[in-house]
Amino acid sequence: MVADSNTELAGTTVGRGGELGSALALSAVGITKSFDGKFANEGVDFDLRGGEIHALLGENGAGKTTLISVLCGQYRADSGEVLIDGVAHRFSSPREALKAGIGVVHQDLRQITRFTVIENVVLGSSQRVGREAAERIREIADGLGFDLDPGAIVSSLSVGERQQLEIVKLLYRGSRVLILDEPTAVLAPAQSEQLFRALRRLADEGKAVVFVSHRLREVTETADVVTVLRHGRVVAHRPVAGAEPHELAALMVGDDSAPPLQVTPGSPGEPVVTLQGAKCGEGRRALHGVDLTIRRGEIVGVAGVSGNGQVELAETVAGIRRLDSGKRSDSAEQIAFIPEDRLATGLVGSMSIAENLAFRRYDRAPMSTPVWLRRGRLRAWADQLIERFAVPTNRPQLPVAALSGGGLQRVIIAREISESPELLVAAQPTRGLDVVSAASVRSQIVAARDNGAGVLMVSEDLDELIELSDRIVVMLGGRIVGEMDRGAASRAELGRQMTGVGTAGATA
Amino acid sequence: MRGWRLERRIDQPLASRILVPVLAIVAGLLFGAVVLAIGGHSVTEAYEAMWESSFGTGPGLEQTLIRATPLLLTGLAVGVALRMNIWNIGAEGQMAMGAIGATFVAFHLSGLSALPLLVLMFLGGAIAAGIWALVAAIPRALIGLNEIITTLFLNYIALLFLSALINGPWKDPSVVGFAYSKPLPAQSELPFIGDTKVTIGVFIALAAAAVIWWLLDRTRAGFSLQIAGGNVRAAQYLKIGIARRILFVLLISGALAGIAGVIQLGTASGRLQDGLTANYGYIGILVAFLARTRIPLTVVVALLYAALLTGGTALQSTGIPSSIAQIVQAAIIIFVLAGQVLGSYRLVRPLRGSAQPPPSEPAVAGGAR
Repeated sequence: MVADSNTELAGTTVGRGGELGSALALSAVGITKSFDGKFANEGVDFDLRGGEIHALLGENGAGKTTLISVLCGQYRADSGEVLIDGVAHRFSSPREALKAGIGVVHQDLRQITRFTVIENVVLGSSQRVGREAAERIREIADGLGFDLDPGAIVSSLSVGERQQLEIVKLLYRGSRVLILDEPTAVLAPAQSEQLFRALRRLADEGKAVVFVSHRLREVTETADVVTVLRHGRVVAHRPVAGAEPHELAALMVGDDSAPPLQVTPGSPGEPVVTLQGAKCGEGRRALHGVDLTIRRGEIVGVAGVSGNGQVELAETVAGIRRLDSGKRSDSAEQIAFIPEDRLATGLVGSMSIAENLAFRRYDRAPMSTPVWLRRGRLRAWADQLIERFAVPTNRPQLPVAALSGGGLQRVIIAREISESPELLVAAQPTRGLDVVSAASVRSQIVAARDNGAGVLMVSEDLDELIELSDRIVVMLGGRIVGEMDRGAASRAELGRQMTGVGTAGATA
Repeated sequence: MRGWRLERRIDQPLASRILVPVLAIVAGLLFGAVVLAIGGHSVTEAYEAMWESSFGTGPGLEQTLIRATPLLLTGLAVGVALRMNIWNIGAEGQMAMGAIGATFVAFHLSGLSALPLLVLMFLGGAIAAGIWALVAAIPRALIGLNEIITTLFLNYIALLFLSALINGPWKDPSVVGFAYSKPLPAQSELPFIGDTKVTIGVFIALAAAAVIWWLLDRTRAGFSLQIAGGNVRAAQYLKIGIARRILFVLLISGALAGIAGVIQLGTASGRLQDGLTANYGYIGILVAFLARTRIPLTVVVALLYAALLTGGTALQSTGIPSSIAQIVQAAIIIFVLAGQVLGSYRLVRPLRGSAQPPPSEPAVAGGAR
């Protein structure tokens, strides 16, 4: 039955690009939803046509997730309605929405990792695990250019593959509206491209695709239509053609307050850390002989497709990871480290925000005596950092896990940068942050450099690397395969070197 | 229930933290009432007996306090280790080693007067039990050998060692039929408080709770323990050594259980004997769990659990079979445990805007609950 409705839908193919003429697949009218008297969505209208890729843009807290939750039946709107093919629906569960053809790929892919791909796809439907299901899955996956083995255990898949599985699952269930919540937040650039190619194919088949993103370039390059939300209201709904990224950014934040950071070049001084023939780990996630020197007063950017040794390099430079061979020497008294996975590495979720802010100095005067911890001083220090770095909380005694992603990042950055480090290692410092938060983080990093810190910054955001770095090294397969100075780096060149296409100037 | 749903919350309001366990206990008592009624027993009579034997009368309250004392100590012992994500199942055996250590001191320093002898007995007991815990802690810290297994099996060794001592070198030959050690010197008995049957052990246990609370909350070492226990990776990158802290925390844990053993020794008949540990070491696991390793809560839970134990005994003396008494006890505990889990959620009705913003999953890293 599921497969039937699917073919039937594929028949209603609409022209490419979602011209305004094509049929409305879904229409939300006047969606209002409030939490504790605060509007998360206020009179939001949202039209979605078959055959279009529709980007949903907005800062953290602009109401994107709330809107998605209403569309997919996770929340019920206070007022307003969702029309599908002109018929009003009030879903009381995501299951009902799925039946009506609306499927969501959540950020935190909700899968049973011990089950196989087939089992996850079939779970909750009336289908059986069997050859028929496997063939259908393979067929859907092939159609999208996914290489997905129906028999594979989900825990053995990469994040990108797990996302593909989620998409295949929704299609298997006959979804014709696919909503993806920040799908590229966890993907490497190449994987993102693959994803967007697949989304385009879906749109070409007449499906309606919505994706949430903070990355303006993705929106301008991929989407047909964009809806911008700000403070729970729609501030723009327009075709992407002709839109400039900086216009969209302005719409998102409300004014032109977040222009690209004007970064003055650094003035490199003495070396602060040196790696010679550094080797550690095995396989792709490893270092296979890296020579690198970072000087005081410079930002060294690290580009590379995710999983080519960047994490290992960051940890090695920070002095957290032991080398199997090679040498590391540093002259830094204070080393700050902003890890990629904030909650998993940098913070203790069960301890309070204030306590987490004190991790770097709880063990010395004045915050403690050789025996005692001075709670008053700890709290005073935390209050100071919360103020200075705008950590979004008024209750520092709450567990840090209560904060949002941006809040967590601010806690870590406040704690690490406030120590005036001589060496700062930042891994994906702005991943998942909204435009304003990301800009603030970038300026903190530049400020640390201007205070004389040597900075190593790993990022998958090439624009960010080009903007901030005094020097960019490119990693591939655990080695540094290229190096460029400020001004010499371009997206195209970085992309070539990252993917090993190779150009003149690339060194092994 | 359509449309209602449970949502996890990070911060449980105080009112709910108090109300939920109270309601859970009431629910447990109601369930117990049904069981009692089915068994044809008088519910009011039974609960009256439970109340009088635990809190309602002077002697009842004394019995409760006497049982609460070792429970508080073993609850602390398990709880403090749990803060480091270490499951010390060995409090029972550590209690036995504590009693053995104290007996050894008492036999060898019997010439001392009461105060120095008692101090040395506590010290000896704490050290013996601490070292016993280290037997499990060292392989755990060095090669990651699972402490749940080792501490559990060390219990059997410790309890059998105690048996061997009172049947062998320390046996009182004048007692026939029972294995007792020779009597301990008279001055080694713990002084009673006023003219009650409660010993000063209660104060020692409370003092231990205060010290542990201070250690964890107000000292540098305690703070680093919380980091290490909360998130191993964070600890590693802050250069907080894990192995050392596992040793430290199990040493403290063992010592606390050992002190419980010494108090049992000084409260019992003045002899080392089988059954001295009375499962307090195992019940301590439940106490620590119910108290979520929070120290002040451990005091409360130990007291309530002790009341449940004395109340359960009283039920049997009214002619109710022990099996039914145990069902009533277990029902209360299960309801409290269920309440604890449910209390960390709230009911959300998605129809109206009564909830908090979107489901940003609170991924609480590591840590004991």
